[in-house]
Amino acid sequence: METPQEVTFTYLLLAGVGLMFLFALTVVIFVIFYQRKFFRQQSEMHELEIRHQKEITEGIMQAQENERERIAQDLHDEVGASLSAARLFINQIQYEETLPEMIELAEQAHGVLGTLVQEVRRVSHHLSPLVVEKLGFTGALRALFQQLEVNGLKITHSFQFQEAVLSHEQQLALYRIVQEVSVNIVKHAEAQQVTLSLTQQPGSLRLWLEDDGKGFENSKDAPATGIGLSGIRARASFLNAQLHIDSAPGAGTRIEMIVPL
Amino acid sequence: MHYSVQQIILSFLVIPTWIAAIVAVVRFKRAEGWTKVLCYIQFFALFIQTYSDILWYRKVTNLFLYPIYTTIEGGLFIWMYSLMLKSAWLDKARVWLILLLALAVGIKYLEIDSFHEFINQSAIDGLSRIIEGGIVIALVIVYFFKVFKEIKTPHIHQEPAFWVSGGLLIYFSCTIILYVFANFVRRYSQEFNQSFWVLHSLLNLLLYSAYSVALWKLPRK
Repeated sequence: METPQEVTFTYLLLAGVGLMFLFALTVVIFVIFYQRKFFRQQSEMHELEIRHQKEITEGIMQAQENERERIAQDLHDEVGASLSAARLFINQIQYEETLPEMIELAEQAHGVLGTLVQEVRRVSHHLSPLVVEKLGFTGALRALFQQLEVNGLKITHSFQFQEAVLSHEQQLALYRIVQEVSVNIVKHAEAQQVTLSLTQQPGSLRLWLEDDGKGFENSKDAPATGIGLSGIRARASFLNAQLHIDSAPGAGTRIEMIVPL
Repeated sequence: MHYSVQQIILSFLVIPTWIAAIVAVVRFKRAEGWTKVLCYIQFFALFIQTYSDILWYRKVTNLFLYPIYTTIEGGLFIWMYSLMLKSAWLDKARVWLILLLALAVGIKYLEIDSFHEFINQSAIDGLSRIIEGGIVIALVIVYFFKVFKEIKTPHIHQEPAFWVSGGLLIYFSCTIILYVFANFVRRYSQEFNQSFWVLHSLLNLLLYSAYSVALWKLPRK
């Protein structure tokens, strides 16, 4: 038979052990519950990351397709047409009877081929990343603006940054973005004036590009891939940059990009 | 010979140790790394349990087994967690931790004059169990932190390491309280002492069941 003190002490001991048991059990249940929650959150984040990567890959593929389309178009419109013309002139020579007429045709063919060489150089120049290596980032941009000015555009630019703060990959990606936007402006915007500024800020570089062209519908539902925006977005993602595109029909286009340094 | 109800319960509560050891034998081929050490812990526990039961039935004191059992079992736990956690610092520190545990447990026995005195000691070495418990709880907490840091599985209750750690946390959290009062209870009354050991055996039942589940859940190699 247990004494009253024994019973009291037994209860006290049982209560102590019971409390510790409940505490340990709570910890175990907490681990089960929150581990599952964390796993779900991690899976969702992983899924989002995969989706983001997929979007970037799709953007890059779309940009490549656009680039190929442009090369094909350049080859067809410029190179193909010039070659056909040169072929016609050369072919015509055999039917001419007098030397001056032959010389004239040969000169015409020579002229067409000369234009063709320039055209091929332009296409090659457009494609090659060597332009950035050769001329430097700002030099390559200036060369690009000169080409645009040939198309009748008035370019205002301002560079307030140290070129050395950008890696070669960043320079190339930024150059491609400006190039892509320029092509869009020439092909679609019908703009008169383009303003570009590159300004270094603490920890970032701000790119501002504005045109007074006809703009486009920039809602979420509007297809973005057709005018090369997917390529711009893909490259902005590669740079971990924040990209804001503001445009509306008849209101020009403004592009702002903050590139972390 | 007459046995009380509590003594009979105590006899039957040896069964979980046997079951865990049998599961360890069955799953031994699947075990590798820390799970192999878990199997060794089961074999060692069964050996000590059987030996102490034999002594108990022969009315010979088995209390001298406590420091030996605690040091070896604690050492095996440290070794097991160093493999489970794959932690560089624990890999380096495990030998020192085991030596520290052995020193903490063994230091008071330096005063004992003879081996006979050691064998016939009449007090439960609760302190050694409390030290071992503290180390094991710390290792379990590190494991739980790692579980949150490196989330690998959607259902943690499918992981053998979770069952082992959960079982050890519950067991040692409760037994630390028990061992603080172990010697007091032992001197207080025989009846109370037996209730105390029934409670301890129930916790043992829980721990060895957790071991059995963990070993049973071992994946194929």
